[in-house]
Amino acid sequence: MPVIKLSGEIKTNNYGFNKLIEFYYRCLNYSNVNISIDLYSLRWMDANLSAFFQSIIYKLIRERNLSFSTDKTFVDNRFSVLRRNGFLNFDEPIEDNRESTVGLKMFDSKECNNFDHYIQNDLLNHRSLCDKTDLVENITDNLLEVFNNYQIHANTQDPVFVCGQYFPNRSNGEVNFTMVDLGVGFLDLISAKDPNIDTSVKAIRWALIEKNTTKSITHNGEPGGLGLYDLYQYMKDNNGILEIITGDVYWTSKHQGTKFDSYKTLLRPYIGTTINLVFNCN
Amino acid sequence: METFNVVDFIGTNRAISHSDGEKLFSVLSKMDLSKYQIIFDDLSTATTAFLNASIGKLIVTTGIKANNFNYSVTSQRIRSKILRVMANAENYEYSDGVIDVTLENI
Repeated sequence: MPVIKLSGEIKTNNYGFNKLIEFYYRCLNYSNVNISIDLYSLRWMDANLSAFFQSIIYKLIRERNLSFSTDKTFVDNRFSVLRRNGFLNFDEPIEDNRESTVGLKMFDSKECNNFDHYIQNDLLNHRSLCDKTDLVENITDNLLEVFNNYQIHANTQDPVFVCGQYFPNRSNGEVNFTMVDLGVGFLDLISAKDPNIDTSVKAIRWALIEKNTTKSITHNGEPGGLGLYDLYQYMKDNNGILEIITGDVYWTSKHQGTKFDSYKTLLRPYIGTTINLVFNCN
Repeated sequence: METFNVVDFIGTNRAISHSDGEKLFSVLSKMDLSKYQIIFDDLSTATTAFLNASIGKLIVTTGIKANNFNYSVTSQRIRSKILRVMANAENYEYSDGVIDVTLENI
């Protein structure tokens, strides 16, 4: 049985995505076998990245007929969050006494109402948000816009994978939320609209400009170009973070206005689009 | 003047899906809008995807001016979105994805 190791820290940054994408490519060397995932050297994994990891597992099961296993006892002791949120859900889910997790789920593109229900009940029902009506409405609006982008632009029959995590003890009481689709990503449609857009980072930047939309290709006569722009502006105005992973690029709004680059080129590309949102809840 | 209640039509006060917007468009585009007031009053939320697919597309494809679109909405939040979608739709042909000089600043 092949063994593939994940080690170190897997956080929501270019290093973390590189590690998970490398795991995907290593698994592609196999088919019709069970792969043991070695987590003994893993020190940390952001729980919201369960959505990205699950999308990888989903693809590999479907395309390579792989199955996966890992040391349950070790995971229970070291990474219980990955059981509480439903990712490594071996038997019955254990109770989330810390109330810090948001369940890992997947939705197909017709399940907008189910996604809305999940947002209201799993994500925004947290005790730290109960008296913050405006924030809850803004988070709802923003997440629904991202879901609609998946519905309209991803052009895939595959589901979207979502997962979140509360960090109530951080100074800004943040909520991290990750949405992963396995669709066409940004570049192909945008470069079809404007051939000058020939890299994923240019495509991301183009898509973040108000009124820029590819709907004339997919939904003729229908205006657009507000949802992602509004989300970007909301995050900038409210000390949140928007991160986009598509093609071979990890882009973040975190470094806007600083000398640091807003994007990193990933070691290898990954299909679709991943949106990670960090909401400032204070 | 007759009224057309959006909540009654889509069957929910959450106007969130693109497909509900398309259904609304298919009905509104066949109506004589000069005889109707469109009621958005009871909505608790509305996405730009829903509004673009309904009233945005209506403005683009029928040429109706936003000023002539008779509607009622109580939520300031949704009113603001409707106004943005309408303004964007009225400028549709001019917002057709020309790369901007600010691109490198993002």
